Amino acid sequence: MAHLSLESLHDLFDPEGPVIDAHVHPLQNFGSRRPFDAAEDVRLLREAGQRAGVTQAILFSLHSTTPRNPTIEQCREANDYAHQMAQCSDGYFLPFCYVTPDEPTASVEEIDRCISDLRMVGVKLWVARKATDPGLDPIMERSVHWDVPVLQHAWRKTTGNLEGESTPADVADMARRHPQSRIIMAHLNGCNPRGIEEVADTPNVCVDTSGGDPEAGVVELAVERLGADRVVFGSDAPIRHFGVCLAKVLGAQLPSVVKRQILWDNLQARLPPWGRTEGSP
Amino acid sequence: MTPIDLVDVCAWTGDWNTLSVEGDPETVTQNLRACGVTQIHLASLRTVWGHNLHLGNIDAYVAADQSDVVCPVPLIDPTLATWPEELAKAALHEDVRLVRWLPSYSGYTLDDPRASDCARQVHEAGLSLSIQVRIEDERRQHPRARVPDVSFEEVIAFAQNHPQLPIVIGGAAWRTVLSGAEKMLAGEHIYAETSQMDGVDSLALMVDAGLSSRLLFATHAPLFMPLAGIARILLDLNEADTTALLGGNARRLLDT
Repeated sequence: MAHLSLESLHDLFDPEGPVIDAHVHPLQNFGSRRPFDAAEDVRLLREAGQRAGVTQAILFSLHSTTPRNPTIEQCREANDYAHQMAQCSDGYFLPFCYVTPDEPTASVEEIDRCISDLRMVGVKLWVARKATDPGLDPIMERSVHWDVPVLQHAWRKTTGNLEGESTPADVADMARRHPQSRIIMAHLNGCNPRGIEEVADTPNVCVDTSGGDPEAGVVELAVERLGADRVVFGSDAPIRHFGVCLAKVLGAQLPSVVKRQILWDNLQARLPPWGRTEGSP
Repeated sequence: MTPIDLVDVCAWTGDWNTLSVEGDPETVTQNLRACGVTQIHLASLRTVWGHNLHLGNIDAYVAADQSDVVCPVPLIDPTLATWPEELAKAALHEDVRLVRWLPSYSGYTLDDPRASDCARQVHEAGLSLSIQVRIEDERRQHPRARVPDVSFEEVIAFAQNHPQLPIVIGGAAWRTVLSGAEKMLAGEHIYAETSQMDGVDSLALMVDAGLSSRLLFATHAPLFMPLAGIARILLDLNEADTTALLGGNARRLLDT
């Protein structure tokens, strides 16, 4: 059979438009290489993203030591680092504010600082407490006040979740408690087909495609069950490879218009005005 | 325009218990060819969960008979009484270059003497041996059908006991392979396929560690998206390393 050229092989990865990644961490958190400072983190991570065709990325730091139950001081340090990276990235990285439901009152103050002063564009929640925990309620209420999305980590692990690690059912509970909030549930492949069903009737939840292996048919299933406007592209880089994750969408059996929604439009529509790219829906 | 040879050393036909896929051989072959894959080493998933692993091999043989790009990869279980006959059948088929073990699914460990007996026969038959350490991440397996990974260290120890037998480690994570790079390089014939090596700069770091000639492109299709397997190599490596990993290394190992 005829061999493709290297050039035509590269063409298979053309996303045919801009791509925004909903889920990126600094190399300082999880990277295979430890950057010298925030500027080097930007350079290495942005180069890797751009090689894959990612034109912009949501960034959140979970602190250089990635504690599962960070103190609010560690959250502040993490947010300052993400802000530094955003400042020297020429708009490539849009930072989310990382907070902890262990300290809800201080977290609300940190959200105010990050959004009012640092112009961050969303809130990140990880594994300190499950999404069913009332400690999240003041945080969710503040995200509604600022009209910014909340990205909540979720997974359904056969091997067992961490004590404070949310399942999709937990995220659905949070979404019902806060119907005005805009929630991005992380890790489509980690949530698996059962998890998709668990958030199906919570329209304020969309799911990002980050995390897990690039299994066939999962993005298509999410579109079928949730609708094309409730799926956003994410990588979980540097834990996962930008291009591998992008291939989940580019290789999916979906119309081009749906892929464009996933790669750009859907997340743009969920960002606050100061985070959106001009001309986006 | 540089033509590129893509040899996929780990593709499958069949379906899977937790992931319904389009796994008929025609569709798998068509999807891989659309991504530029020029040679497909194909094994059957059909009897991975059965009591006799060998029964599914017919699927790979039939697929190879119907396609000029498919090479069958017979699955061999050294604890099945009839493995010598199954291996002999593999050795007689001109397109077979590789046979594969699934120790965790077949329920044995690599220190089983039957495994060593079988490995010696694989070598005498002039074939290479693929040892699959993972098909599916345990975190997403069905809770009633959990199968742990085979330890990378166990495979390395086994390879050290069979230094002349070419061994391809299948489904290993990149950090595991990178941390074991020196041990891989200490053996002359130890390779790893790339289908489950994720992470920013993962392949570049392994190439930096001297593994360029020991890494073989694989997609794990139809369980994984074929493009994903290509992305981690094509997007991060220079042309020489890309060419080697996507096909050159496999041709050198499997066509001689």
